[in-house]
Amino acid sequence: MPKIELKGVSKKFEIKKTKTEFFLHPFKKSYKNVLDDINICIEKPGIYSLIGPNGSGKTTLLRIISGILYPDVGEVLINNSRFNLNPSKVFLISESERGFFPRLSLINNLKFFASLIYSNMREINKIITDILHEFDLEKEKNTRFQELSTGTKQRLAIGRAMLFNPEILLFDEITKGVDIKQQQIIYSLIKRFKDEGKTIIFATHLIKEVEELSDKVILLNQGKIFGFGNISEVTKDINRVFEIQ
Amino acid sequence: MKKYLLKAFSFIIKDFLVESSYGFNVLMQTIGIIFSVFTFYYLSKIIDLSQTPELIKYKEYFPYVIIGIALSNYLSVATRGFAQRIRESQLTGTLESILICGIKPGEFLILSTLYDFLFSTIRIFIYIATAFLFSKGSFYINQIHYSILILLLSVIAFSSMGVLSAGFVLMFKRGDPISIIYSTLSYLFSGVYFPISLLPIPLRFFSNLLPMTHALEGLRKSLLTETTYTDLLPQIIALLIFSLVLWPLSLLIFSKAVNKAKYEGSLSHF
Repeated sequence: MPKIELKGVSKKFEIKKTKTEFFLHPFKKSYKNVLDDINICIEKPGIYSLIGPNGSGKTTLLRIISGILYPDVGEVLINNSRFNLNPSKVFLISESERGFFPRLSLINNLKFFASLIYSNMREINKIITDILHEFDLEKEKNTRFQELSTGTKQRLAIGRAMLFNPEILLFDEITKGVDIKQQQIIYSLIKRFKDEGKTIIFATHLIKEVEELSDKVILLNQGKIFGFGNISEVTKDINRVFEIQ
Repeated sequence: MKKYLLKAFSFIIKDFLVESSYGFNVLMQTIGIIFSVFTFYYLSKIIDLSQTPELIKYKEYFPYVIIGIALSNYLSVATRGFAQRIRESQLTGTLESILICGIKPGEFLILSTLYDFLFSTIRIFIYIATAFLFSKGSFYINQIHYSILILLLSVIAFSSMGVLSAGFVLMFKRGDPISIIYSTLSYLFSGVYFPISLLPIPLRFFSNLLPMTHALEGLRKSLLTETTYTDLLPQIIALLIFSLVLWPLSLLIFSKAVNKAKYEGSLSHF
């Protein structure tokens, strides 16, 4: 059972200068605090919604948990040990328009990513057949990635994650830009992953999604944790945060 | 090992499929090679070797210059290819998605340029084969094993500059002055088109600091003159020294650049 612990995680990014600022203060750097002293401990599998307004730090937090971005301060522990990139432990599924090869077909994209982990073609072909079937991608398997609909791209992104069968899945606004039917398909997939004992952290700014999916809610605002608990426990805080915005 | 070979094969197939999706790209490049070979074939007819004694040992200017051009193709892939692949994969977001899949940055860098090197090797052979067909028997094809050794050492020495350049792209997002400066200097000072002995003495010293000079000298010796391992030893040693000094340095700088990008979050944008 995976345990995720974030201890004192903070992150700031340098703010790009305008041309005038550059000429006036060429060596002066200014920063924006994106995450400020985040402490969370997730011990049980389930669906954890990470909710917050735009710019609250959701994507940065997920990227830090995935290991693709380093925190400036603090640490991420998975099962009590410091975490490094490991797709069979944690996998981040983010904006699906990027991260695939646009001119390759859906199946060739999957084959490529499968070859990064599996060591023989028989295994690769088997897992790909399963994924195409499981995520309803068979019909479009020969279509180039750039010609796929957003919904299909999202299912492909989830399918790619399943090549690694990770214990922890991080979703970054995965239903952005998809129609209601596709949203429902994605919701049912997420619920199925929960039933398989996985831990899911699901970033969104849609309260409807939080209500439909969450076991627990992590409320983030201006880089700080504003609430963590069951939906009923944080409803007041959610309303407060979204009203503030 | 089997797993690593499968990864390498997948990267090559992936790049081949992407390249071939652009229609006549590969065909046009091959036609380009043949055109450039013929241009230099006719150009070489107006070059009188008796005016340049430095070239007499090679018997003809045509094979001399074709080897220069063929190897500069390698130089170009090795110095620009790494940075180009990094840049492309940042733009498409595939760098981050591949790293998330557990591939190490250095491994990604090498795997992603395999296709370029493979294609460049084929191009070198097309150049040399065409030059062989049209030259007046200046080639020592029975010494090809020496040429392969020199090519191998050249790739390693040239690539270190490419890895440095890729590190620069990751750190500063744009521009790639290292490869531009390095390849421009190599074209001018390493004897691609003319012998370095024509350069003023101080510049000749500078030529010796470029791996391309030694690679060209070695490749020409092995293909165009009767030679032995002992004759090639100065070039082999020079290329080995470049590789041993530049590789660890370039890998260190590249890993620092990746670390910096992981702090700045710039792996996925350019």
